[in-house]
Order: sequence, then structure tokens, then C-alpha cells
Amino acid sequence: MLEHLRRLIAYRGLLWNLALAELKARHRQTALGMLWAIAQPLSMMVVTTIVFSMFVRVSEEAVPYAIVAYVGLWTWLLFANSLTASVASIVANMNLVTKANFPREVIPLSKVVVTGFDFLIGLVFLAALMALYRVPLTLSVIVIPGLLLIQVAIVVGMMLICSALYVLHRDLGALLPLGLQVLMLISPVLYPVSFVPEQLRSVYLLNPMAALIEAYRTALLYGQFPNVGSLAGALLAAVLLFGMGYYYFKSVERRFADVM
Amino acid sequence: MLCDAPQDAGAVLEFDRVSKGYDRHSLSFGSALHRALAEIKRRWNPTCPKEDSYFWAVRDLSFKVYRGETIGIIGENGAGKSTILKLMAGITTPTQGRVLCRGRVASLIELGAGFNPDLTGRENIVLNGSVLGLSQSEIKRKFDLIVSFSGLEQFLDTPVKYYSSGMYAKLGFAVAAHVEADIILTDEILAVGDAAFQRQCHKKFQELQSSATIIFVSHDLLAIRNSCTRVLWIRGGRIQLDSKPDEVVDAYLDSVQQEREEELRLGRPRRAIEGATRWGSGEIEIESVTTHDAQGHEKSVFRTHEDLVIRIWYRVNGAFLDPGFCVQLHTDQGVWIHGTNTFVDGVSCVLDADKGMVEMRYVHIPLLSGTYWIMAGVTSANDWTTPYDLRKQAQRFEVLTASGEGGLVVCEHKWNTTVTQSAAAETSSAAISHPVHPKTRAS
Repeated sequence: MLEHLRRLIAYRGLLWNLALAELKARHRQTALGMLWAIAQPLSMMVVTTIVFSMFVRVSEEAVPYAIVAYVGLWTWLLFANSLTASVASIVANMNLVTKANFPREVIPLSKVVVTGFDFLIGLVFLAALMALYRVPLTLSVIVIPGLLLIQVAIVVGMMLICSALYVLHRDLGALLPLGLQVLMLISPVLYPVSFVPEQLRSVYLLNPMAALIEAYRTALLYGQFPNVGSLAGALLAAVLLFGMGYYYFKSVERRFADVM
Repeated sequence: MLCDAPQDAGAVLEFDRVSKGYDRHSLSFGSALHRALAEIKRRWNPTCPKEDSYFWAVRDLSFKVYRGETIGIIGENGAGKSTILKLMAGITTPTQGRVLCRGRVASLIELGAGFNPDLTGRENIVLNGSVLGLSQSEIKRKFDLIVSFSGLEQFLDTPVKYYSSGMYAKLGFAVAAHVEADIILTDEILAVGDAAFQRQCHKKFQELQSSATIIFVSHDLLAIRNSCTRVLWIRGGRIQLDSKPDEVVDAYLDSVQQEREEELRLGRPRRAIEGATRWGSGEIEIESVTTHDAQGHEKSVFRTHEDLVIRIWYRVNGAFLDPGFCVQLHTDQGVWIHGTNTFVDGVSCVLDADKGMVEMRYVHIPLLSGTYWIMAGVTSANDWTTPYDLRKQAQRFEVLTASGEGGLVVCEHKWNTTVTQSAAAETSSAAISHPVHPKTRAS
């Protein structure tokens, strides 16, 4: 394991250059360029705000629905976009995998750098939104880096499992969008956790993504420190997913060049 | 890439009984079910043979590579050469056995692997460099060298999708050539770009040879012969021969030629077709045609009026009836000069059971200066539309003429410049009694 990590560190330049190449290529090929990083969560926020505050009428306490939805979408999209981008990444880079020798996890990991970049731009936009809606910042925002770390560990673990599994079983390509849709509906992306019946909430928050999104909202919008109990579950899930993902990836990695 | 060091101190790369198998089975549910059923059937009836699901690309291969060697790997398509390179590079791992190496291995298996077409030349140098294992600082240090080697200074900020294929390959080679490694694995990447760039590539290759151990897979036997210190001939995933370049390349060529001949014999048309130089059913085969002088020494340049001896070497492959041979002479331009065969000459042929030779002699060949071709054939009962074997241009020979005569053949002749018109009748008879003798003319 340590040996693997050492090799990965030796190839950090490749990881960075692959991510940079994708960002640059995307920037040059599209008219909106960097703006796409916020166009996706922004447009979804606008649509869901119209639907949920005009048709369904979400009664929200202190914080306007729009910003509640934005925080949900912003964190969710880091997870969903990373997975979507990475699942076929090994197969898409087949000419690299069969022609050069480097730690293969560099390929999916470069995707999380790209979506992470979008996430940071989304953060700037979030700050603007919070200023616009006059949401006060409190000391509780200091937990955000910790939340981000847990989330990245979960994302990376899932990415490693999915991208490796996809090389061996392409069925995953059809299965993943379905799974992501289901997971999005059972996570508080487009609605606040307060929508969930009181007696179900403890079960509901066992979903690490639900616990994470709720924690982001609590710290950023409601000015409180998140619930330690539900975060502990997310942390445990993060450690397990990352460890299992990395282990699984490294144990099937050597078969990639043969299968393709 | 770093891996376990070999046992032998001088070796930088060692294959220790390495086998590589590929699973032929697909991963689909249907084939999994099929295999499960076969397994159950086998359990009920153990005599059922177990299906061998592996295709062995490399089998039980052992060899060592020493520091400073340039090893060439040759073999036909599918012999396992690429798999061996991939095993050395660590791109794939052996099914059995161990691959041991000492030092940094650079696999330059494909030029420009991982080039992103939307990025500029400059950006792709950085990207490709890191794919090949260069660190950021190494890339920065070598950037200018790479650029000047590629000669693409003007196009550095152009996306590589607008590059010509030659420019693409140049940039790829320039990056690859600047990877510092102890062991360099490469295939036919030396033959890129125009002549000037190829010279540059060869120079760089020689430079690399002095600093690194090189493994070079190629179908270019001339390049292998000229640049390698040792050659491995791989056949069916095993080493057929491991020796000096000349020896291995010659043996390989012999084997390829033999197989090619066999293919030709099986695939040869039975009747003459446009453009074919050989046809026939093959029961008797003409293996070669040789030319000799009167004493039997093989040679291919003759003087006018010398004896020309043609030997036809045949091999018997199957049953035949009433065989006979033919010989024809043609000029280089295809003009038919002479032709005959054993049937019209009334010569009977008794053939050896396996292999043998028939000889035909042109006494005092009257040809003048030029290049001539021999056509030779063998058939049954003077039927030349469906011969056993017929070879156009089976052998070539040259004729030199010492005298200043011109044309194709010598026609015997005599001049007379002192006769009067009234004596004309007598001189014509004198010409017959005193011809210009061929022997005296030739010497």
C-alpha cells in the first residue's frame, strides 16, 4: 500500500498535467469556457427554485429556498460529476494504458481535480449568493474543509471502484446513471432535511451523502456546528470506501491492459 | 519503473520462465452460464476434457539482457513480440514466472501516446513527457532541447490536431528521445518523418545506444542487422534463436523464404494468367535453374559462341506420367529467341524418385551482347497449357561479344569485295566451302 502511494506521488506531475489538459481543452472548445462550472448548478437552481417555491411551495424558515437548493446541488454535483466523468475514463484512455506504464489511478484521479476546480468556482458563486441573500457567516464555516475532505475521500473511493469495475464489466455504464438518480432522490439535494418525517430521519441520515449535505447547510446557512453523530457515520463510510476502493483498484489494475 | 533486481549482477533485465496467457472467455452472462454447465457436466463425467481457456502469447521464456546491449527482437506477426515488450515495460504482468529488471525502464512503444489533439505542441510536450515518466522539473530542463530537436519552433502554439502526420511523429520522437532511462523499449519508431529527420533519429538512436540498454522490436531486418548487438528470434511465444544479428537474421530469412515457397506452391495458379511468372499443378516442381560453362562451372556471363549449359533442378511432389522438360530463351524485352522441349527433340526422361537434375546444352551459343532470360518448364505428354510447373524468367544470363557485331544472334556470313559481276556465280559457291568459322571468331 505504501509502495503504491509512493509511486502515485512520483507521478503527481502526470495527474496534474492530465487534469490541466482537460481543463484547457474544455476551455478552448466551448464558448462559455470556465462559466460552465457554474452554469450547471445555477440553471438547475433556477429551475428547481421555480418549481419548488411556486408550484410545490416549500415553506422554508430563515433561509430562502434558492440558496438551500444551490448548496445541495453544488455538493451533489461534485459527487455525481466526478463519478460520471471517471467511470469510463480508463477505457477512454486505452491508448495510454496499453502503451505506457504509470499508476493507473492517475486517470480517474485527474477527473476529480477537474470537478474539484468546478467546485471551487461554485464556491465563489456561493459566496456571492450568500451576500445577496444576506446570510450571515459564523464561526461554524471552519468545519467546511473537514467536510470537503470526507466528501473527497468518498468520491475518490467510489471513483476507483467504478472506473476499475467498468473495465471488467461494462454493464456499469448503464447502471451508474440509474444509481445516481436514485441516490439523488434519497439525498436532500433539492429539499431540506426538515422535509423528512422526524421518525425516519435517523435512518435517512445513514446515507453519507445525506449527512454531508445536511452538514454543509448547517454550517454555511444555519450558522451551527453539524451533528457529530451523523458525521461520524459519513467519516466511517469515507475511510471504508477510500480504503476498499484503492485496494480493489490496485488489485485489478494489472488486468486492465489485457482486457482492453 | 522500478522492480525487483535480477539475481545475476551484470544483467539489467531478466525473464525467468515467463509465460503470459490471455483468457479467451468473454465476461457475458451467457458464456459464464455455458462454462458453469460444462463444469457440472465434467463433474458427473470426469472423462470430459477440460476446455483450455487460455491463449498463450508467451510460453516459458527465459533470457537475460546485459548492460549496454542493443537487443533486436524479430518474428512474424503474432509471435509474441509485443507481449514481450509489454511484459518488460510492466504494462502487463506475467501469468507465470518473473520479470526482473534493474533501473528505470522507458517504453517508447508508440509515439505521441496520449497526445491531446486540442492542445498545442507546447502543452503536449509537457503532457507526453509526464506520461513517459519525466518529472515536472526534468520536463522544464529539457524543454528547449526537445523543441529544437523536433524543429517545430514555429508550430509550438498550434493545436496538434492541425499538425501533419509527419510533424506529429517528429514531436513524439523528440519527447521520447529525451527520456533518460537505463532500459529503453521501442518498436518501429525510427522510421518517421522525412529523410533529414530520419538521419537525426538515427544519430539520436546511436547516442542512446551508448548510454542505455535498448530493446528494439522491428520488422526492418536491415535496421536490426545494422544496429543490434544481439538478436532474439521469437516464434510461437518461444525463443527460436538467440545469437549474433547476422546469424539470426539469416536463419529467420531462410525460414520465411521456405514458408513463402510452400505457400506459393500451394497457391500457384494451374494455368497461365496475365502477369504471372510461374504456374502449374506442382506434381513435379522446378526448384531452380542454373547456368554453367562447358566444364560444368556455374556462371552467368558468357561469350558469344561459348557453350551454354542449362541445368534444371527438379523435385517430385506427387504422381506423374510421361514427363518432359522445355527450355526457352528470351531477350530482356521479352522477344522469344528459341524454344524446344524433350518431346519435340524425341528425348525420353527418366526422373529420380525425389530430387534430380536434367541438363541441356547449347553448343556455341550464337547470341550477341545482351541480357537473356531462360524459361523452363516440366509437363506431361507435351501439354503446355496445364504444366506441372512452368517458370518464366527462371534464370538470367549475360552475353558479351568481343567483335563489333550488332543485333541478337550471329548469322554466319562472308564478305567479298574483289569480285566482278561475271564471277558472281562462282563466289557464292566459294562462300559455302570457306565459311567464317565460329571457333576462330570467338577466340
